[in-house]
Amino acid sequence: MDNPYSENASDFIGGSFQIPPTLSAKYQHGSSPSRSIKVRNLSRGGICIEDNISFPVGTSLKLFLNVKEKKMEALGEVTWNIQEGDLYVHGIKFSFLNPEAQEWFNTFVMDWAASYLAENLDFSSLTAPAQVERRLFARLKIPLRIEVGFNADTMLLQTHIYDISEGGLCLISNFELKKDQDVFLKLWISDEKFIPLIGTIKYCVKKTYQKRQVNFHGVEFQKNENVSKVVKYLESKRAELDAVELTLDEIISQTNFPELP
Amino acid sequence: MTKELSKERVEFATKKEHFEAAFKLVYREYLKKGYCSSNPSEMRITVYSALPDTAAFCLWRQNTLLGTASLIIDSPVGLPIESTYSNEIKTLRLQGRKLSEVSLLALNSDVISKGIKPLYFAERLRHLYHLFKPIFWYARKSAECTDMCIAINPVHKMLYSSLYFEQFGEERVYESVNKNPSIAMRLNFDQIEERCQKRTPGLYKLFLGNPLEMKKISEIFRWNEDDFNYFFNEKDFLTKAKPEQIGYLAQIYPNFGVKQNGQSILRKCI
Repeated sequence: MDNPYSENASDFIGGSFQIPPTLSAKYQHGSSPSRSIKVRNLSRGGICIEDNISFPVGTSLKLFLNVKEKKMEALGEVTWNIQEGDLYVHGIKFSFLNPEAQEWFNTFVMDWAASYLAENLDFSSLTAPAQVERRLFARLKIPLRIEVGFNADTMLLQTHIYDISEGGLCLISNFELKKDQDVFLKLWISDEKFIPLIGTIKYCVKKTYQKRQVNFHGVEFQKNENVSKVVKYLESKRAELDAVELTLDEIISQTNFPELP
Repeated sequence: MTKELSKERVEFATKKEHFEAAFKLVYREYLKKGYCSSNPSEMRITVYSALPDTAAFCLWRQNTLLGTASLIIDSPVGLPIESTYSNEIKTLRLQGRKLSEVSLLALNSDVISKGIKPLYFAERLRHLYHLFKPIFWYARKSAECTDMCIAINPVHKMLYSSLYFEQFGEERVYESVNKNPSIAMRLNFDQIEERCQKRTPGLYKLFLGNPLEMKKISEIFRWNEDDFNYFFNEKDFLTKAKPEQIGYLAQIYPNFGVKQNGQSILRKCI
């Protein structure tokens, strides 16, 4: 059965979560004054510390864990150590932690890990299919410059769009805008000319784009007279597109595929 | 790390190769843990995988399957957990709960842990989160369930408790995982935001801060006859299915020639 206590160096070293570089612990030997030692990492089953003194494998230690306002006492055992230059890195597993403390520490580590990971996990493969059919119009990929603000007078953000249709556009930004937030837009269709628009954020998805983690925002245009300018602009752009024409009549006549509506 | 994470993606299984990889991974991991016995197809499949509302989630790093889990939505054939916790599930249904169950959960220990004790390793936790967030939102929003159940080995109780699952079934022997011990846990979606936000802001941020919208799997995928035959009719995974489960499959796939023990099942109403 699974064992909650990690005994392997790689459980800690090079692990997935970075902890604050300043995190340290106090080490006390007998009655001598305590001193600070650096904590490299922690997991649900133990901690990893570095020190200039080597603790042999099997050494038992008393551990006092202070996290936020909580104070817990645990017993630990050195399960591995390796030398890195002048330093020794030790993996210490909790050999005893009372159930209440164990549960609390477990939740703390899971919460801390979740906080660290929240921005990094990519779910776009699952959510993308839902977005594909969100629009009623064909999209054109044109990286137009756009300014975004929360009122008509002050534009807070300058960025560019990913694509656009008659119904809305997708804008890319480092910032996350809230779903259902109304936004005022200046869509620059040339260096001198922009179309003022009002839109509503319909979705926000984190994606890796041009090697950066960014937010893709789906913005639906609110109906006003300026949307017709977007329609005209897109008509002109579509007219410039190269075209491929494919005739399917021959295939259809030889198969049972229904005719196109 | 971000570079590594950016290559990892969660997807629904929608192709034969996806399902095969997922079923094989579950088999390998269950076999290692003693949750199943060896079988010639080297896959772990249940009758619930054949249901049109069952969504199989796969976590990939390029072409390597890192983990998988299936979400089964309560239906006329019930949930797998009922085999051991029948009364408890009935009680929840009587309370008006709409249930789902996480099943066939496996993380690829060959890739992830390199021999380290499972589920307690940071990378495993990360993969678990990566799978569980879409499962949570799928159950809650796409399938409009009120609860997500899971039968787990009691050694994992603390992990699930930290994710707000509550135990609702005592420790029992779970027949379908080679009689290993299990407990029944469920995540009640009611007021989950309020409970989570104050106590565990990190979990709130990850799981609830950015809701996911997904289509129902039945809008994206439906078994075709060839694949259904390959996974269900040509192998003996339906052998242990109950007659009403087989009857239900025959009813929803009337043209597939649903078979049990090599015998075609006529369409039945249950």
